[in-house]
Amino acid sequence: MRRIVLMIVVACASAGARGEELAPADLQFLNRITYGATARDIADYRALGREGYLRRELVSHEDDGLPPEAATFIASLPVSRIRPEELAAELRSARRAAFGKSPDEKKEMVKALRQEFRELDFQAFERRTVRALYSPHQLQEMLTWFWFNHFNVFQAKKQVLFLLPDYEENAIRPHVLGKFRDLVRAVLMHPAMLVYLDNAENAKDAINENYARELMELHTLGVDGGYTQADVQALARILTGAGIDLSSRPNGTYGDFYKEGMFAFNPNRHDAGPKVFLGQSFPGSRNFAEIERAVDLLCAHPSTARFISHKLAVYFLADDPPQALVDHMAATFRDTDGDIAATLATLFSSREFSDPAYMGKKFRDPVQYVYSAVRLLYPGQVLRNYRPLAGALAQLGEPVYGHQTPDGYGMKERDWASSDQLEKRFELARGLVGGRARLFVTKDEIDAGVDPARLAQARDAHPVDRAAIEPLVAPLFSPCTKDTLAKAANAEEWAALALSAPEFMYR
Amino acid sequence: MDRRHFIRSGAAGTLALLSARLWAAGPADVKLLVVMLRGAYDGASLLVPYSSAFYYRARPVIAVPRPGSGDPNAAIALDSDWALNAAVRDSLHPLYTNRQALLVPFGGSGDLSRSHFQAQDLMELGQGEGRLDYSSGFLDRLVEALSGKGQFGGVSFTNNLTPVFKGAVPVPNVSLRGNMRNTLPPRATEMIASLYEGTKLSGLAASGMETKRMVSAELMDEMAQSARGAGPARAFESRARAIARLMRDRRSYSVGFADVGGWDTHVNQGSAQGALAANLSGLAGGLAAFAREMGPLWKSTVVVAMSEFGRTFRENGNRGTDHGHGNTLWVLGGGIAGGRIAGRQIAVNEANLFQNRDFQVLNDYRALLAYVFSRMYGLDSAALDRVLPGAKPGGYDFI
Repeated sequence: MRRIVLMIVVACASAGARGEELAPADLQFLNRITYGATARDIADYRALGREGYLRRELVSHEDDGLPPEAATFIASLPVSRIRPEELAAELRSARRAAFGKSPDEKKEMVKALRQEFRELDFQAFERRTVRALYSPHQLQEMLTWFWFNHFNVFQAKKQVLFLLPDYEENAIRPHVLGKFRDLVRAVLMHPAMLVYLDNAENAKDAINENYARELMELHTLGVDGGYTQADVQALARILTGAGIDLSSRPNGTYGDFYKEGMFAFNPNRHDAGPKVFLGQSFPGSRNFAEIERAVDLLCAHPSTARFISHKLAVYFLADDPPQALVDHMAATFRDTDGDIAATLATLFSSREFSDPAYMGKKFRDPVQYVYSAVRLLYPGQVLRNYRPLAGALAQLGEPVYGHQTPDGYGMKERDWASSDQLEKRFELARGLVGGRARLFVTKDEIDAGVDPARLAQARDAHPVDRAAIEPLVAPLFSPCTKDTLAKAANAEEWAALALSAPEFMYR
Repeated sequence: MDRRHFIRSGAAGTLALLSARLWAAGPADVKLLVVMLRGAYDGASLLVPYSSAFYYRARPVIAVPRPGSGDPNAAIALDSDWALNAAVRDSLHPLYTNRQALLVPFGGSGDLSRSHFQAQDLMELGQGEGRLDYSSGFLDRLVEALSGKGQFGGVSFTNNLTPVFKGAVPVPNVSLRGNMRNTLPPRATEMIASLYEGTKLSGLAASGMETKRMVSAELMDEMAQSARGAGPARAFESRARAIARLMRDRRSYSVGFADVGGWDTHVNQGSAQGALAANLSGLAGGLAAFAREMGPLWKSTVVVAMSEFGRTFRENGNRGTDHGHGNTLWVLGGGIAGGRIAGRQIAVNEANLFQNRDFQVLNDYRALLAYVFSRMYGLDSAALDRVLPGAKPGGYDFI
């Protein structure tokens, strides 16, 4: 073994780079703003040029760029047509039906409902994954993950279970490239967040600090953003009355009572007394305006500009991004009234973003690893079964909608690079290649006991195409990696090793 | 009650004897497990200050009923001031009465951010004075300090490495989650090792594959049991048993770390029953199972459980508690002189609250750890200062 390694090291010295289709720098650039560049992304990038490509990617798109098969898959999901209000109605009628039933019967009813809601959450994961794998607008999909994670909610907490698909689709996704304030406001007015961080329970004379603290610490100012415990208490009082209304009452304003979707501002639960928040006097009022003012104050705060800019730079550039660049991004953020696309444009066009010193240095988190692997192996080949991917993410420690605490998953190398993580990735790489048949038959077929001939057919229909994969990864591989890969006995072993290579752990 | 006393160090002679007993089995048998309770558990619901009238005023709904109150869920008196939540009747309480458990109220760190995430990192890094240098955590520095003293090594029973084990000495992690079957054939293992040769991840890759190969057979049965329909409380028990088996059977796994979440009880936390009680029961039940599974090695094993901060002394508007400051630390071990409440204490009343809301921190967790490390491993003050810079061993006498 030792001898083999030595021979490889010697061989490396003589190996040189060979001409590839896209310059490594351009490939690395694309790899950082996609879930792994595919031939299609490269073609778009070539046709549009870097500036044109960025211009296209820095605005939100509908699903019309998806391949028809992917669009059909999303359209076929019940979660795509069921509205959360219908689920609330279902919950209400279940409550009525439960009246007079035995405790055991009630338990069964709750179990069945939760199962149905969990299934819808899984469909939300399928929707998210189909877009991440097949949309040409990769940046938008990465940002959907980024902002969901920034405003994390945990699937298993109370009603979050049925509110989550709507939260991701309608509170987060429409704003991922828009104004930061719109994002904060949409989150604040979504029942999923209000339930998750307990603000639905925060009321005059029954104060709960949970959301107030995290809104400053995690969502806007950052922990060193300059707020005090007194500010936490003041914001908690300001946020009183912002809660949920799952009744069938129509949207509208009823005096100071205000309802929009399942969000409700209830003036009778609101602490209308005077407060001092972040040094500003809040004289106290009985309406939602006080909350809007607090959100404005938080979003316009210089600490928020710095905190958000830093976090974006960490996600896209480096675990420890240069301060001058973060300051530059923060200036853009402030000058553009918190425009996320403009802030990102500053980052992507910076000198650092094209500096080779920063390339291939971001350790992929499990989501990036799994999505990149599937995109590399089976580009444009729409999967029929997403359960293995959810299972892989759970194994790698990033379970879908499963982060219990509001900080979201970490985004740095130190959060993910561990011995157990690497070993699991090596096993997964083999599984994604050797067990690929299970990705291309539906989970219903598998549950029904799929015919081996059917599996063999699925496997043969999706061969590992080494010739197509190689130009996308080989330019990033060291000569040593290439030498080891050259010893692979066949295309499948080669692909599993390529996905296990140290270079593929980074983007 | 106006009690203002300190619990002082006891007779040094007894200590030396106990300490010698820890060592008698040989350094390879000395085991340490640190358990992090993430989310700030409510210590006042575990170790109940039942002689404080203020406790019952401040927690009209969630206070744990007084011992002897006739309530079937009444707390179990430990002395004239403190009582244990009945949820740990069959787990922590027997350990306590066997002098194998010790509780330190008014414990914690100097963190004032009340941010879970910053406070957890601060605690795991253990550098003191609010320092957040992510290059090394206190358990990694401990393993480094012990490197010349025989076969000491670290292991993290977490999904990924957390700050406590960051540092100069690479430490493997075993996630104890999901499939423990090893599917990498030897040929793949060799080729992957050569892919990583000379890269900065080579140590992690090699130790990951080696660890998996070794522990998979050992843990397959255990994990298969726990995967089936176990609730969160039972799940920790199964994990704790697996941890004990690995630490017991593997010489190099002498310093372990595990974490348990789900303590952030802002709403409806309950008292002797409910969500928090279930969590306490799961944790204590797991640690009791850990103690049993360690077998003869339990005599030379110490477990420390801690949380990033405590919770507000008064209940909030939703029958829960918000982020606080001081909290109760746990020390368990088959060879400790437990069965008591240790550390500095003051009366539990309104005037003694920190910032008029929380328990004070009178017993720095680093001083407790420094004491434990110095007694367990005989570290001198220079070595101790490298592990926990600036911390002095607290005046304890239980090892």
